Amino acid sequence: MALSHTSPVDVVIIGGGVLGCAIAERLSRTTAKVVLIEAESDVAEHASKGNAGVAVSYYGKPGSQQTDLINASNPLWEAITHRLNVPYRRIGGLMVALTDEESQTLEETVAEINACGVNAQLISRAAAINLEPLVTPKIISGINMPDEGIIDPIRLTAAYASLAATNGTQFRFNERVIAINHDENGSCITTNLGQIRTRFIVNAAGVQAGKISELAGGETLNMYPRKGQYIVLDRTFGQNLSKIIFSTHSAHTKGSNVVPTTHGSALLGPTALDLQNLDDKSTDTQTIEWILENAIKLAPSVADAAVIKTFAANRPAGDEAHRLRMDKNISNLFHVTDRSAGVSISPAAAEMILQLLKVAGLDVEDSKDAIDVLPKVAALRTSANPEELIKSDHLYGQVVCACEHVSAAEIKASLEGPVPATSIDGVRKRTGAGYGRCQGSLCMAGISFLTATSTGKGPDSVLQTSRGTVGS
Amino acid sequence: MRIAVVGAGPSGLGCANELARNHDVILIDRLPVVGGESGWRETSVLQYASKAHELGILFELGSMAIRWDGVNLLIVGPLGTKEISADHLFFAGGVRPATSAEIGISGDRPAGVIPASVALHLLESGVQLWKNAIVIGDGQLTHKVISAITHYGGICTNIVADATETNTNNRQFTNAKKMKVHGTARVDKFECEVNGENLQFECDGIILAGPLIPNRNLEGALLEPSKNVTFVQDINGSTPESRYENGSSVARNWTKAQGGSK
Repeated sequence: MALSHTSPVDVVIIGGGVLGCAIAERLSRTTAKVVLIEAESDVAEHASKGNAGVAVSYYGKPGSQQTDLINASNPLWEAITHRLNVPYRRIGGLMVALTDEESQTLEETVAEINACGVNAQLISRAAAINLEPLVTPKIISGINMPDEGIIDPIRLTAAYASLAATNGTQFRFNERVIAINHDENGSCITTNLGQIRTRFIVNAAGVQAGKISELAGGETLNMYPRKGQYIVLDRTFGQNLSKIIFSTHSAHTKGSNVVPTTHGSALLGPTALDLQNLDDKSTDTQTIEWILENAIKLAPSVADAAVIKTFAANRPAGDEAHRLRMDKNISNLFHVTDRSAGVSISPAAAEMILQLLKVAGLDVEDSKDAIDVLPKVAALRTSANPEELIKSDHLYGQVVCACEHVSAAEIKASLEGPVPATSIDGVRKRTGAGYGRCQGSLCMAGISFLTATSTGKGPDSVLQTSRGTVGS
Repeated sequence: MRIAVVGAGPSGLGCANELARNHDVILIDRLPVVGGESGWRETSVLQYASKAHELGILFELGSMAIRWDGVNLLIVGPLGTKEISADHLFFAGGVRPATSAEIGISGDRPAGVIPASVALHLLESGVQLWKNAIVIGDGQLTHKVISAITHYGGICTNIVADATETNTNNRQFTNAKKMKVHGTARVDKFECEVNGENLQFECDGIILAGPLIPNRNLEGALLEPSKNVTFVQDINGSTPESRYENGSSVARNWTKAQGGSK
């Protein structure tokens, strides 16, 4: 329900993607009073859900704010993901040159990576094949990028949100901003559900950030969706992959890649197509075929792997690929958007927003009562001692998702967490149930009944996705 | 020999009952009852199960087989884990409808695209879930889904990729290609090409009912061949009886290939 006019908060964060939730997590460990509002019914929708799950060590030019934030975040991943119970592995990446021209480009690329202060070396064909035996024998040269890591971006976003909610941040879903007005005390945000008074606004609305800035009377942010299509390959292939295999960057694109996931599967993609329509997340056969062909060039055994899913997602592109700053016109409004590196900058971006807010007059300090470690929810599939796990809670012995071996205990935890799943997708995003090769054929009925019970719905009206119900 | 059979549906029961003539057999199922997707109340299933008891087959029901390393099987259930050593494993984990990716469906990924196995469980709750559904495939699940939906007055359109006739007494289109889903929040349209003609159907649900694909969810028995594993998954079996007979026959052939020895 709406907060009353008389109880203003310190900060309203608009957007429950990885950046909004990372900021909520950081602010929740201070004395600030914070509300996060999200238009969808869950965190980690849109770009934070549909990405390759890479915590990069390098993305852009040396000296840029984005590079500084990546560099500040990269060394922290082991500690952060341990603290938040998020799957992460610093497995390293291999950028592949398939032609003499690409080999030349790699020399420029490695110089740029090193100029960013990031560890990377040009390596020979033999060294590259030694590093990743699945890489094509047609490789001419490569770049070894040891600080590239794979992460579960959805679990990361949900974990940021869970910690923040545990520390008292209020999360409000299905809430869309209609108007933003300012006075001497701050701002009043009018939404479809009510009004919130706040001293500061953090605009982390992704591709909608331009619209939010416009409503707030801020500067013009030109934003548009950039669609990427992906293919998911079965773990029987993914488990053999030891490195992230990157295409050589071209002038126009970072290319389509072969990425092992923390679940054990592999992702191929993304492509890049700029769009007008925010809701266009469709795949098409030609693009999917192109992604496969491109991946087979990088790793020929992709041809034998089982495709278990294809999907598309839109990243928040615009005339600036990255921004983190105070609005030029409105002094209590801060923008934070990143087209491709949102996950990779999230820890440092959150810290920087806190510092900017303090400079702008937010008088807070780190809270003594706040927790910074999320209570661990164990997973049956990765448990070293399943016997002990089941003795602690017999629901761990009840396997619901047969492909991914997700237990009823994990599903129950996802429905009862600090930011609980409210849809079948929400359970899947938090637990991995339904991610496997049967795509929910065996477990979706059970999960829909559990979700329906937890959300007080029937089998027809239970949410399958953030927006849509199972029945009509 | 000691033999583990994973899956206590008709296929697994047929297999286990045949093998129990010469071997020690243990039968494992993730559900707490026998019968698999055929259901435990099926008359034939009850007969197969009582025969299995007579033959001295051991049951581990309500336990999911997680990992097989060629000689040991790890199962988990609400009471804990168990290691079962076996000389050979028969995997009778049943079949499922093909996924969107396996069928090659492109387009949007809205709510309302549901595997038939799931749709049937949900329809059993008695709720009218879809008024105008597209049912894809001509597997054994197709007829069940169509009769469940038409039972409450819903309309079904059956889309099949090849030229098979299924006699569903419903609108049926065969040789369908280039299937595509449309919809933002929920599915609202299905598109495909039949004999070069583009067809578009308004719909409120898309049920994936075929073709049928063998389930593979036991680590160590995911790919063919796997060490000391025989797969017993009958994608063509239309009745519990035919699947039971297929299971028996796979077991008989395996025994023959072993030289009939104990």
